[in-house]
Amino acid sequence: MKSEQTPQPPGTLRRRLLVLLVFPMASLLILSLAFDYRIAFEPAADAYDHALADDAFALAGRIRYLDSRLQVDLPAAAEAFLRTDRSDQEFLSIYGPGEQLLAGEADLRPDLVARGKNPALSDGEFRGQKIRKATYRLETAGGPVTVTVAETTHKRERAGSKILAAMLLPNILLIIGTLALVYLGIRRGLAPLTELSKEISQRAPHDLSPLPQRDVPAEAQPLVRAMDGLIDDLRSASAAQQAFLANAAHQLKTPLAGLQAQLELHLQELPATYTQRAQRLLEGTRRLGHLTHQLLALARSGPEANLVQEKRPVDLGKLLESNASTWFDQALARHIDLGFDAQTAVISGSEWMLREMLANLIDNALRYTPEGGSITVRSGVDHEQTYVEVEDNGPGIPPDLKHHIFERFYRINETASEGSGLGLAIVKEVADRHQASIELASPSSKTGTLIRILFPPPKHSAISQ
Amino acid sequence: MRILLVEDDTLLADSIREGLENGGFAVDHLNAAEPAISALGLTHYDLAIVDIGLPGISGLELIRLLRQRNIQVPVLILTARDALDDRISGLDLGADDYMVKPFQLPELLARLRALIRRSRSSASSELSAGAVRLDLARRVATGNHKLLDLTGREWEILQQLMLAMPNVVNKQKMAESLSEWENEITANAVEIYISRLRHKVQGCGIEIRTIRGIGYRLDEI
Repeated sequence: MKSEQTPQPPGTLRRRLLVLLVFPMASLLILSLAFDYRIAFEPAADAYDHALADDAFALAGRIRYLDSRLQVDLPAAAEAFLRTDRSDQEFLSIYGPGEQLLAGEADLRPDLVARGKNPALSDGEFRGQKIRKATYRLETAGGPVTVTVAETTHKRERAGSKILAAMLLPNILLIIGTLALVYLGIRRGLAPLTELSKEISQRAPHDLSPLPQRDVPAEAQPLVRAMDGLIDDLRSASAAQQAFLANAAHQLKTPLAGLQAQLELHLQELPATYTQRAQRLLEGTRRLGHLTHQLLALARSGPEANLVQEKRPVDLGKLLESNASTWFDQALARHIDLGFDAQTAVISGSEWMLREMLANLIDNALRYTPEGGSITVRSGVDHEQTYVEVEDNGPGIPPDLKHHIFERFYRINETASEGSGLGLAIVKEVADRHQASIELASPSSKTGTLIRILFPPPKHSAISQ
Repeated sequence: MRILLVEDDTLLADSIREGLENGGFAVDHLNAAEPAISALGLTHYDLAIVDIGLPGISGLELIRLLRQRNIQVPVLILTARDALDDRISGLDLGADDYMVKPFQLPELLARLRALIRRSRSSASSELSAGAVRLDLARRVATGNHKLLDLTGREWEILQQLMLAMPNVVNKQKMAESLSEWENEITANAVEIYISRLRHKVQGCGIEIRTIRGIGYRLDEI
């Protein structure tokens, strides 16, 4: 069974921090708003309660005990004054002993008054409206009397909403401000990490120098150290490989050079009957030397060599000119006319690799061009593209074999006199290392081969000399 | 002409020594850098052949130490790596030329002769190639011990070619350097001088070869 689990997109650290911070902070701020509201509202509510209690006291002051009877001296004007309020309806009731209504609304029942809490204040409902009620109990000569005063809560609610309205705006601003600060803080706090990742992503592919340690926060240090460790391993592996190749080159080529020189000397001293055999030995040794050189070049230029190679401006034209003499000798030995059209063609690259590429391109052409043939090597800039090309008037490459010729050890004709089949593989490796493309174009003469290497325009125009 | 060979591989060293002796050189062989420094300090050598991959002190270090001690012997490096980084560091340190192993003995001999020719020309003001001799002080050219009748420009071209051996002289640069002391010389004019020069040095053991698109090279034949 195959589980179709799509991997979750990795959340950014910034988003995680934001989510983790924003919700608790918003809840805290809302809680604080509620507390603030209660604290701000309390004095107002107290004042209203005070006034309500005062009304109860004032009403209590009107109770008389005359002729063994409890009476309430409440003239209409006084009652009207008590009941008058700008926004709220006021209710009152006075009960004497034995549930005897002395004045006011009979359905306004008094609360129980606990000791020490006189008057008692409570919220309730009266005739379908929310009310605030004060119950005051006093002892008179005629027995206990409870005075109850109540009012609807309109003005309290209005005061509440006013306070809330006044508090809401600054609190919302505070919330928004805090969130903005959190966001900016996270951004700034994570800036070193952003810098670090930018630095890593902008690195050249073969740059194996350590990562910058400065400005890296302590939390990211282990990560940077781990990556540096990895880079370090890569670097030492690469250095070990390069050292191995250098050593291998020395160990292989030195005895080969000795062998070849011995054979050359031997050939000079031999009587004519033996020279043919010695000549074949010498040729075989030379081929072995050439193959050794090519194998080492291939190992050094391949991506697996992980070359720490600083690229620098290289003029292909100058490179052709300075090495023309060597190639000219080879052409001379094969009776091939080798010519150049070396125009300035500056690219950013590795000089020895490019030299190796040119040597193998020319060597390849020399091998496949018959005696009396002609080869022309050109370099220059065409339509802002830097190129180098080698054209010969040899037999050419059969079209169906064209895509094989850059394979390692591939040879068009399996004859002994030909090369190792590594030359064009080296050309391809070097072209790959320089992001260059290889074109097999048709030469001006109908037969023959034209191999053109096209280099990408340099990224930094600073390479001008 | 006396040459010091510093090479630790016996087979290669013996071959080079034999090849050079056949070519008319006197060769002393050492297989490490330390004795080479004292030998070069004590004795006059016309040239030193130094392998880069020596045990102990490397060939590059040897050249650095020589130049530090102001021992101005021409040095040819032998290297196993056709690495231009090797070559550049070698030439930067004061080596004069290099050869990549494995090489052909005739080419090694040609390079040695060219190096010695160059270092001699500054000392004795005489250049020679094949049977041609240029007396730089008296501005006299001879071929097979007979006076060669060269014009000023022909003489200049021949001198440039001989100094550059075994390297190519750029035709354009040749034209520019000739233009300096008289009127403008074109690349086409150089071709005419070269063809006249070829005619005059015929049979003197040298050949002026055309490297199409680049220039000319003087070869001993």
